[in-house]
Amino acid sequence: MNMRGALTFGACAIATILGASEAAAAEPRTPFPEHAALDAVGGSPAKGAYVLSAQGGWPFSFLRAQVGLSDRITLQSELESAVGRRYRPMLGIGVRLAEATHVRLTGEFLAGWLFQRSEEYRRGPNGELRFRLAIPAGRFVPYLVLGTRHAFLPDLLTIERASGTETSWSVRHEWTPWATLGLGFAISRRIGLDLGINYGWVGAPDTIALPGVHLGLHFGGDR
Amino acid sequence: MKRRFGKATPLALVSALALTALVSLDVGCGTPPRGVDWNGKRLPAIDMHLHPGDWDHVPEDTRKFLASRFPFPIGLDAEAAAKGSLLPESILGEIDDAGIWGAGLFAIYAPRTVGVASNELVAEDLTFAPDRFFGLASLRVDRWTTDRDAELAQLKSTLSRPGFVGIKLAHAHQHFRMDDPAFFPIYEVATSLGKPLYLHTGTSPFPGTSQEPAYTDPTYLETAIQQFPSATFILGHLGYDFEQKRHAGLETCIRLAKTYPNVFLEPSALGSASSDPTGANLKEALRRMREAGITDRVIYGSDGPQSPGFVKGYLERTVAAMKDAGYTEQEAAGVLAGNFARVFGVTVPAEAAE
Repeated sequence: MNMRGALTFGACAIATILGASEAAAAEPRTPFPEHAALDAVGGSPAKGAYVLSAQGGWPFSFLRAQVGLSDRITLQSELESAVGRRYRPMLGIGVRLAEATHVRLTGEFLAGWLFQRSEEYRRGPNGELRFRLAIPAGRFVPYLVLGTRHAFLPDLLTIERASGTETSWSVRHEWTPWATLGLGFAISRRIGLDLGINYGWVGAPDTIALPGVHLGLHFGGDR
Repeated sequence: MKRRFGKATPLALVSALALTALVSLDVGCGTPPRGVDWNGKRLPAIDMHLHPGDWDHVPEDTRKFLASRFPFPIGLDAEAAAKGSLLPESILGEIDDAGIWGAGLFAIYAPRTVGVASNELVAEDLTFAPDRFFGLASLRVDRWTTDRDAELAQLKSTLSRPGFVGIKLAHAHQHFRMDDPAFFPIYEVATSLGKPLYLHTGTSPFPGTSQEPAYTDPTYLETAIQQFPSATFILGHLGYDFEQKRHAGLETCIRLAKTYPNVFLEPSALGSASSDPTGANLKEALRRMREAGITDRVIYGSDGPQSPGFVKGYLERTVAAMKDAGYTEQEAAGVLAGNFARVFGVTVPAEAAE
């Protein structure tokens, strides 16, 4: 999906969601304080609950699974792709740091590996610390994610001399500050959507990065 | 507590508005006006320094370097991005978007550093916009001992083709000393055909560059400048140190321009976001050249296209720096187009700024 297409699609999705909200307002139902959309964008589903998320967009797309180990601790795995050339499979835990009627704050730590296939191949371990702030209001869940990612990229240098071959290793550090601002929407307790703006400043501060958008679909269960 | 679903809260609205605002950024407003706004008046602009190219002839290390210069994630598929941005239609789109009327397209033969953009490729690209593209031809110098005469003959032949207005050399990228008389026949060609020479000065971030002073310090050009008073020497990048991101040859360039009437200066690339993060160095350069009274020797160039929007952004930075340095309308008009037109014998049409 190119940038223009993604943005246009995003605008249409907003209109659809807002339109759906008006329809829903005319037909009140029993509230469900915890739902898949909230668990997906706010993190840390309750004990025994799980949520599966697929977020597609430009340049980043995600597959994520979270399952509540206790009422505060979550196990999660995540696969991120950037335009099909950079992948980050990750495994980690989430901790529900604060919970109130209209607020959920989650801290997450993930570790995994980075694979980048481009002019410059990049491979190496990487980790991420991030915080999710969700502010649920009925079916809507505005949310903010702030994170810091660190990848360590080993380089092998080989120098062939008449006297023999010398090899040496060095490691580069790639820092990626991350921010997402989005809006989740609960279609039902088990199914939700979200739309978000992502900014991942890959290689900060020496690079320039473009912002992106994603649209997510979330399924939850065991409640 | 009972809640009503679907009631759009202020936070939800803020999020939706933020997303909508982002979408609105992509909505075009038609073709931008041509020229640069200078206190309400439009001045024509020519970018004398743009690179068409052929990705397949760029060395591997340079490809990696170029990929790292693209904004993320464009660099992940640098080949597609570069191939697209180096096409003549893309270059024309970039200068149109910037309001620039004309562009100099550089040939380059530096197979071990920045690659090869042949004279034939530039000749073909010139046909895409023959009234707005101006070609600068080049030649190989890495087999000078054996191929000198053939290379000079080809250079002369290329310069006789329509649209070629000058010669491009980069001692640092092509690995020959600025003061090596073995290469002075190139300046003889420039003199005999009346074609100005554009010379890269200063260090370079490209892998494989000869960074030593004899290849980068404009002081080493003085012998040739003296010896060929009828040749026009345009000193590109003002001897900037792209490795340390600081001025290195600025005062030398200014001295040469003040001393020799056949020396012109071109402040491209040094003011880019990556080479001059604060913008202070470009401002200093334009201020110093004005203080030295040589604004009639300054020719605008960007060193684009690099990445989408670079050409426009560099022009905006340069115009802002000129305003900051107190350039008059006449001085700015000269830098942006007038000096190029005078040096290269180009007529700038009225529609270049309207």
